Amino acid sequence: MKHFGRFLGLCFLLLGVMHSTMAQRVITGKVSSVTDGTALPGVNVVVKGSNNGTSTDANGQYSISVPSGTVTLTFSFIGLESQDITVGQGRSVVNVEMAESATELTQVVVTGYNQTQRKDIIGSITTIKSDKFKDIPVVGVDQALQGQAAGVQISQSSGTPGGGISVRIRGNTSISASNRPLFIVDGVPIYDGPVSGRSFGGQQDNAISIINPNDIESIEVLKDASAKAIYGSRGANGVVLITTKRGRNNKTLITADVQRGITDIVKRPQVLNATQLLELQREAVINAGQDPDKQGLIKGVTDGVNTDWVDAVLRQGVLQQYQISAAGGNDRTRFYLSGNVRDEEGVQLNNRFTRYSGALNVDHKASARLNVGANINMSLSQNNRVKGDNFLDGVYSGAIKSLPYYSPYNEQGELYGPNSAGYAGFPNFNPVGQAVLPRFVTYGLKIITGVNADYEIMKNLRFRTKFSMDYNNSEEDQYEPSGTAIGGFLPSVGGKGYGVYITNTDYTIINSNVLTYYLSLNDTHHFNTLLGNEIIHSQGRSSSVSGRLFPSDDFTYLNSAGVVDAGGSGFGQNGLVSFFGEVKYDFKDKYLFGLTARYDGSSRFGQNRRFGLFPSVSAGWRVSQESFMESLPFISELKLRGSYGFTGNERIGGFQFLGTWASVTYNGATGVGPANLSNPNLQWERTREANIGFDASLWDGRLTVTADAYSNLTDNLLFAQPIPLTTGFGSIQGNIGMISNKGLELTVSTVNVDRAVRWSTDLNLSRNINNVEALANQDTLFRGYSGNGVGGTNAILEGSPLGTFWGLKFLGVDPATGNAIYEDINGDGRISPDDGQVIGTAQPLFFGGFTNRVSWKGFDLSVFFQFMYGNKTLNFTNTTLVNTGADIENNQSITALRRWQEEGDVTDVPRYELGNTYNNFHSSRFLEDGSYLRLKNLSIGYNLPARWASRVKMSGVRVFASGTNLWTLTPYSGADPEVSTLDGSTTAQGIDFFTLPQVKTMLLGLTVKF
Amino acid sequence: MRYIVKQMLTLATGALLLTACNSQLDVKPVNTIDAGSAVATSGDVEALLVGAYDALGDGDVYGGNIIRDAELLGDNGEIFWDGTFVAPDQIFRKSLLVDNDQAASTWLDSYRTINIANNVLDNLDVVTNANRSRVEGEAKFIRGLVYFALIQQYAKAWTDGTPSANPGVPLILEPTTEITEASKVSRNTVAEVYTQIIQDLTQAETALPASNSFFTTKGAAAALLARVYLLQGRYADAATAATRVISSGRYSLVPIEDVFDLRINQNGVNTAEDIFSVQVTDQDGVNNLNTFFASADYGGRGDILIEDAHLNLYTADDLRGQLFYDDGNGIYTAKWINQYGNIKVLRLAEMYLIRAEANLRNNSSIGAAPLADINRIRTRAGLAPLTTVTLNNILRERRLELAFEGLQLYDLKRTRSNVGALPYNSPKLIFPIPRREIDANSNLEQNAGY
Repeated sequence: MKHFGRFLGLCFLLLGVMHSTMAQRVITGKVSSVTDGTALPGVNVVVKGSNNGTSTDANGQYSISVPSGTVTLTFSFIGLESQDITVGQGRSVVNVEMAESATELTQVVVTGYNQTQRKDIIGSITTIKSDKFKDIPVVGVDQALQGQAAGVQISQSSGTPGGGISVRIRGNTSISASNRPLFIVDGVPIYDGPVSGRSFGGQQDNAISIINPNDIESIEVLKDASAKAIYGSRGANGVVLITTKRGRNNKTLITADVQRGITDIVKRPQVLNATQLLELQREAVINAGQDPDKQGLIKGVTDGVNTDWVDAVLRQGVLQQYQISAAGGNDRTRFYLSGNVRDEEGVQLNNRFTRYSGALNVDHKASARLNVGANINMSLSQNNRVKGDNFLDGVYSGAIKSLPYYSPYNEQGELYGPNSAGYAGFPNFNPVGQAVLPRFVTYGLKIITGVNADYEIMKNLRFRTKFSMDYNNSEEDQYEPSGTAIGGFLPSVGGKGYGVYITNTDYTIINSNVLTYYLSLNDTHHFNTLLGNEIIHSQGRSSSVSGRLFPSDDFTYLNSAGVVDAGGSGFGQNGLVSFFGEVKYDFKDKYLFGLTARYDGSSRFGQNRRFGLFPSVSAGWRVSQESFMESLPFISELKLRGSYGFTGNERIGGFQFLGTWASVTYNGATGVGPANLSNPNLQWERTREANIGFDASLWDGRLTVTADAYSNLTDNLLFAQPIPLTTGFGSIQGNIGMISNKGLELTVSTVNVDRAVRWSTDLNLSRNINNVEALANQDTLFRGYSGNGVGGTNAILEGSPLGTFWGLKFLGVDPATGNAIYEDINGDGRISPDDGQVIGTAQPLFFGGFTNRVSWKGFDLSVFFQFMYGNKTLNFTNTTLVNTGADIENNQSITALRRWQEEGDVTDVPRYELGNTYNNFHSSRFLEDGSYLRLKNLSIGYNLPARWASRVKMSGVRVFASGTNLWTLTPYSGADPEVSTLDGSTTAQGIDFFTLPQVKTMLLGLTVKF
Repeated sequence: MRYIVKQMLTLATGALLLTACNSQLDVKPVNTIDAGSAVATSGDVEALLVGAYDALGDGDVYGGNIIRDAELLGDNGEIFWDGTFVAPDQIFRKSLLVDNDQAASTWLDSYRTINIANNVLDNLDVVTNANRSRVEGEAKFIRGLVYFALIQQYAKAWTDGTPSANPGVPLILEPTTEITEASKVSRNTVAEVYTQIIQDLTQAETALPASNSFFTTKGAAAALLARVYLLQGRYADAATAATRVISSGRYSLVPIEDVFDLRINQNGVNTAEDIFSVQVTDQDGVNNLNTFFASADYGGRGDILIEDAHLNLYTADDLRGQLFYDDGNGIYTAKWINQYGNIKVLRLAEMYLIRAEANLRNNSSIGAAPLADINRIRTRAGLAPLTTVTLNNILRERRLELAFEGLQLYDLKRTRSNVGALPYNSPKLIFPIPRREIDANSNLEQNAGY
């Protein structure tokens, strides 16, 4: 520190010397915007080759003293194209019109604790501006990223509004710890997990959906070590930096935005009607040598009712969104404020997600050197949820399985409850009742807020400090009345009504302090340096209480419960203390070097391994700056990049290193027992990342290409290490095992036509190869669901990627007998769990997005496709819906119509026989190609000509129509390949188990600017 | 200017130093405690002892599965496994694979219980004088009980070959604090394990009080000793130990309809006949015998059906023949109908049966004559008293009285009887050492046949 002080002193001295050389004449002028002629305050005006400079005032005026003779003035402003203007001796007024940066390369990119221009970036960073998703009615920022960035794989787990979304950047790095990237909003790492404390059968909710994406200005995805190392132990899974909108210093712009539309399921599952099902069931019973009439399967009687259950629980939903925002300011104070209401009816009855949000961002220039700012982003959400997927009492899941012989209502129009003859209950429960009767409301509150100050200690040396908070609260208010499965079917659970109340609070407080210093020596050596520290403290609190035996279904709160017999509360916290630094150096803007490191201390690790260092080095070469490239004038920019470094993953939950004892009770006596054996050497998962790539811009930005290749290896995998059970412990958390991710990413943007008609195309394409390199276990680790006849649906194996599917290999149906043929790999003459094998993977060969935009006069059209190829989807639904007669309690898919019926039939669906589970063993029969190409969004807009708009005192009016998920091309036989019942799972992704398909949305919107 | 810079720098440095404070990282868990600070007072050790009972009551130990598996593996066609779980299905079919997950769970949770008991015994010096003897006795009883379960399940029977040469299970008598090479233990012999069990139980009987709420007592230790001695063929010792329990006067036979908890969804209670039972309530504990033996109507899975072969064993006037019910899908035993009922580990009726058999085989009348003891059990069941008694009378009475209470397999092995087509010493009637355990500890020898 002392040396640094001396160095600072030296700088002051130099400054003093420079300031003493005074100029001989004054140039004045005004800087205005080329687009609308408005004054541009704050533009830097510098005499080129000197430190002599000023900036424009509120009216865009400037005045600068320059040496006599011809000088060159450089006008620059973030986001605008810099201009050099040579001013002769005789000229004293220079008015300048500045345009917004035309090429990507000069755009400002937020890089963690700093920002820089794209041309100076050496890391792999993808920027997504909000206009890329402004017409897509995304509920959250994670959804907005889908198909937009190379290397970023996003799958929505289901069509449930406000539901879980899987986000993976450059693959999965971990088995036990989280694989989600770090989400940072305006410098605040935000809680991004589920808010709810109760399982709903698979689908979770999603804290990110509580942030209004319409307040977002841009999203930066940091992908390689050079970009991420500044986030150290939290960076391994990538970092998503979200920058919210802020005011500009011009006249106040008020924007009102209205969107209204309808939602519907992308595709309905195809199940049998009563007659088809009855025929099938009778055949199954006869094949088992029994009499179908005695089972109550009587033609003309049993199928007298034919209910379309899917129809009975689904509807067309209404989606509406209203937003009003104001942005503006002057040269001292800028602000952005907004209010937003979004209301989305789910396609399942009684399912609805409503969000109210508001934002206020203020930046104030307190003095020439001091800027202060504050932001608050607050959202309230109400999520009316319904159960699904793996729950027998789910709605959509129950509807697919329900026998069409039953009706939802009796003759009096009352819902059949459990235990009634009209709808027998177990294993399925009246799905209409399960939808409309219970109350499952989750109230969410999310506040992201912070204050910051930025002080310019001396020219180019700035100190920034920031105090921020991310606060999340949820309250779940639930009641299942006696007409539901939980509330009425099992006397041991609910009996007469079942009420639950759960609260969860998670918050993070963060303080960061950053010094930045920019140094330019002779305009050839440029140093951009940063030094900072950060403390993060997170806390979680939860409570829950449940009760049963209510006097009647008119009493639905726990005050009225006959027995309040379960409850609990919890508390957890963790801390992170960090120091970080960065040096970026370039020589003549041509050779770029970067050195970044973060030193993190985390409360999640043992004393011996509490601190870790995460360094990275990077280098870039802007080939296009070389003189020999002048012979290739069509190359406007070519940059080669490379980086190498380390990042970590600390998200393993708390106290895993600690030997702990947990409390237990025994018939009312309380006691303790060992819970965990200590491992003081437990440490972070560490990912070694190497990346090479290039950025090229040709023909003045008509074609830009970014390509990256990376090879990452995660070691010290956090994993339960098996130890002898005779110790009394099953495992200790250890750092064993390795996972690699290698991949290629390509982003191509072209401007195909740029005349009256402007047509541009964006394509991104990614390939990631994930592989488990080493594991400590010799046993096959089964994950996912337990499979009938095999160990499980998924396995973790050395040499296979995470998300590997396991099962018997289905070789077809024996035309002679109609029985399934499975591969007997151990050749023991019988099919046993030992014949289980790897049958596929959920990892795609490649995925990406493809967008075309066309504009002509006031019209604009955007066509956005998103695709995934080569991945398998497990149609686990069909273990019930094409169950070959294992039971006759569930409806069947139309696939069952292809079943083997008589000798000689060549088909892929085995014979139906009641009680035969052999034909229904878990096998590759249920594994399907899950590739898809989806028209993710199609939108058409029209901007009213400015002269029309101005007549009604508006600066802009845009009307648009937008549709999402309108069309899907897929070989998958289920309703939707893009689902995952185990929401958030890495080892068992891509399983469709009665999962609600995505919804398509069609809406009309109007945007008005004043 | 320079002043401001200085101030800012001081501020910044201050912030850096302040935050460097490691205390920010020393957060403490709230729902668990640091093992290092867990045992400091007598109260801590006694809390640990409660933890040992809780572990003993785990579903994979005496929360039910040890008892269930002795019935499934020992079944002679009297019950039928109708469930979907793979592990018990393999046990029922006597075709366990080395990766049978019940074999791994019972092994782990048993050793977990033993480790807690070892922790208690290792910290006896901090227990108050008034409580030390009781605490020691309880921990030793629990350790002895669990080792007895393990040695019967994972090793050759006492009656099979040479116990001093047959591999038993590893004897772990010290608490685990860290994982070292020494954690890779070998199997002790069957005889060594039995010696340890008898030592633990004998010391427990001495140390324990005669009455101790629902925890273990002097009587419980004596009762378990009687069971161990009978299994080893030490008939005089068995009869003597059983007599100590019977003549203590603390236990009495209750009417047949009160022996088992036939209430529904009520917290478990002990009867006057219960010597030791694992406690279950709707708040804690688990009754896996209910889970597997009771039908869905009573909170179970309805996985174990009772076959006619068993029902036909009861004569028409046998009141015990009424402890069954039909839920429409099949016949179930009513012994475990209450899902919050206690799990009976030792009850007085067994003591009479042990004493009768031991005396008969020993040709003695320690405590009482075999005929008197057997008739106590018969008359309680509503049957006419016998006038003479044979070994077969006693074994049949034992089967009927103690059906589905976890003694079937070991009675068959003890009496060298076949289990279905399998001889009593078939390797298929012994659990494998879990494959996972062999993988983690190369010093362990696998059982024959796996």
